Amino acid sequence: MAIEVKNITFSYPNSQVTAVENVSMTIEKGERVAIIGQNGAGKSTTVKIMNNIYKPTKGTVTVDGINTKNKTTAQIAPHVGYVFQNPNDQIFNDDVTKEIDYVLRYWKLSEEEIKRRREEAIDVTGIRPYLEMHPFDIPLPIRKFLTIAVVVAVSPDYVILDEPTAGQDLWGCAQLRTVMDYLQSKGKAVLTISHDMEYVAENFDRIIVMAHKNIIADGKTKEILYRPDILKEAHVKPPLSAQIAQAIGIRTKVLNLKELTAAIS
Amino acid sequence: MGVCIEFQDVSYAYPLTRKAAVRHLNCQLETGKCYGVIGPNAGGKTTFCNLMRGLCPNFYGGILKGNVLVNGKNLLEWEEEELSVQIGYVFQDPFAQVSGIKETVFEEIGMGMENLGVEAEEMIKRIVEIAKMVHVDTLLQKNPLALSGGQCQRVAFASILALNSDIIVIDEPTSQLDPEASNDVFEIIDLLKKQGKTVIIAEHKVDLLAEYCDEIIAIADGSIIAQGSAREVFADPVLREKGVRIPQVVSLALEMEEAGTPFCRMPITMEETIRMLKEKKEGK
Amino acid sequence: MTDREFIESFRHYQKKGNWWCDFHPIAKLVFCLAFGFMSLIVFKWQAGLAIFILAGIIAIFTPARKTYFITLGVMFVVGCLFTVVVRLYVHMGDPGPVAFYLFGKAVPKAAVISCLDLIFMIEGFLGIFMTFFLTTEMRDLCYSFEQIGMSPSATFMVLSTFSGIASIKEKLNSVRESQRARGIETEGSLIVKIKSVLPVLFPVIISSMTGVEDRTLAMDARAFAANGKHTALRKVAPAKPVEKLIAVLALIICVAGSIAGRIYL
Repeated sequence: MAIEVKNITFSYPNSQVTAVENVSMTIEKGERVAIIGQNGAGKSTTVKIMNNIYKPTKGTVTVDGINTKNKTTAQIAPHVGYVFQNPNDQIFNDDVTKEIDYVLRYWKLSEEEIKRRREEAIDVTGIRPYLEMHPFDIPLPIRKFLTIAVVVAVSPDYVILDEPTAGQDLWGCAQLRTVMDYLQSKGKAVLTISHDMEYVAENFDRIIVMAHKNIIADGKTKEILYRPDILKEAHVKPPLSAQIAQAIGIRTKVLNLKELTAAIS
Repeated sequence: MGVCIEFQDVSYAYPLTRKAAVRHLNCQLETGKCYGVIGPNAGGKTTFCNLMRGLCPNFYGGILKGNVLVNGKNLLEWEEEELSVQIGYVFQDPFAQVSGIKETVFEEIGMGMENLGVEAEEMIKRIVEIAKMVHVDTLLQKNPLALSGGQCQRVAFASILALNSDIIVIDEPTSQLDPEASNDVFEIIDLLKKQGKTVIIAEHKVDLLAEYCDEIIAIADGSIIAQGSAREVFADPVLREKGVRIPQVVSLALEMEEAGTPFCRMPITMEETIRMLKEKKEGK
Repeated sequence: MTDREFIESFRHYQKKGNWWCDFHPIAKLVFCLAFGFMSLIVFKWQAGLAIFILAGIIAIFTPARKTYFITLGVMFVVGCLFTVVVRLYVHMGDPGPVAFYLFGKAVPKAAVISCLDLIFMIEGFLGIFMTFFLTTEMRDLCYSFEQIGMSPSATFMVLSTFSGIASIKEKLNSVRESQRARGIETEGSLIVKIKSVLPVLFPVIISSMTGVEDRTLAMDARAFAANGKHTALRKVAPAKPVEKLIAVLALIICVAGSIAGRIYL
């Protein structure tokens, strides 16, 4: 079971230049993968193709063996969920629970099933204190957790998070970890686009590096974050702990402050 | 140095809310310093910024208690348009700040000056100067609506700097930018500091704040929980109690302390930490 | 244009190097309104044709000629031919002098003439308006109105309405993408489309409402409320006497022509 992307090329309508060129990757169910790289490297375009929002100009995408070519985006949505960067593009109900229920009712699930999924999604995303509020009165960083709750309730096997840590405080980052752990416990794959290297180093086992419309590296987090040549090409800086470790000549590959402290002591 | 902004027991509640957004704020901001405002979301950072600029209560309404003094004069006594010249304000969303009615970056930057009635020749001179300063001089002919987030935020800065305010308030300028664009923003802030402006930035990127700011103000649950130099404030345990993010190097220092090998003093930048760690190594 | 030339251009009045494009915006507007309304009021093919030819001649001498003739051609084919067919069909077989026979039925002269009247009224009206809109920038028109006393807030409203329409289209796209990604179909049969109206429209409306608030604040930060005299970076030359004369002449022709047309044609 996997999303398989084979040699995809894509250019936006009315545009002469391609946004991604000949990209291939496989995301297995249950994996945690981060895509990193500079803005304009083709990260967002690639994941939008995996979610079938865009159709590749060349190449194929299969989700659990289903070719997405002749499917609509909404038909792929139950398998591949996407949390957009801007929650305001999505929310339209005047009530938090209605918002979460909307797609479930759209799919005509039973009342008990809807309730079970909704309650679970609310608990995992920590938005219970905000149930009484109008969605647009909820502070923006927390509003984002409402859109995450919507995806959690849909329960797709693959979840894509676009810049989830942007604008989040400590509470938000901790809550995000809870969501990711929950998804993993359910055997779901989590794919994220992020600039936040601390978050990537802490939470992801595998990193895909994109630069100039293509994948330039794909491998274990520890390996990739200690490849200065690749990071430089992608205009990415390693996490601070790794930077310090390298500067003071520590040989072990540390990825967080705890490991760094241990290595120094 | 003189005090340019002073909060005297300020409490404020937005309209239609029962709970006050900020309570009993007391602080003084000195001319020419750079202040970093930190704290959890919805803790009162933005309200603090809005109060200085008079958007609370002039724009949002609501109830204000206590006094906010800007250059010694009460906020409510200032004419609104005068205040907008005194205090420049850069917002969070880069795209919401373009006027939408100017077709080139050049004219966009000039808009504020047009409103103030600055003569054309003077405007052109200042736009060229400021564009160079914030590195948008290659974008002058572009449409502001066709820029990337980072470029757009730089143009927003240029548009505000063109007004030549002495105090500049910046609310989470990098939350929607990538790391390179964020660094650009902080370079601009550094330039402003060098020009002697008073800068107030609300931000989550505490590592950058620690490097650039003279003072840090931590706000949580609507109250100021700590104010002082970055070194003092970030070491204050109250920050961790209230869930305020601290720079990674400070976390490292705390971890080291726990592991029984403390630093001689609290580091606040990466360079400093590396230097101290090297010294430690040699000292062994 | 190099940046240097571009900056230099603001030291002078804006010039495009074409007589009609550089025609003073308000004088041009008066000229075009006069002939446009004359075409409407007279409602006879002779007047319409004359105005249509006049517009065509003006358009030929501007850089916008290509767009002008293509757009007008499309409008002619789609709009006018359709009205002609409908009108002729309705009047087929009516009594009166016969113009020609179609499918064995008499087409009266009166019907043909009324068709021509309608066509050229529309073409004259649209033609003269297109020569205005294709060669005049809204910002220059607004600037000119500001010069004669219109308030900057009014011009701001006009200009932001125009740009707002363009940005709403973009917003619609991103909201549609976002809703499809969560499983709501937005394409397909009419029922599906109707179902998707609310999820797509609501976020667009909300965002344009919050957009207004953001923009108000941003404009406030640019001292938009300042009381004193506003200056302008981009300037348009004041109307030349000959331009004023042409505008006045157009007005006289419009009034006289309309009266004469109603009486004699």
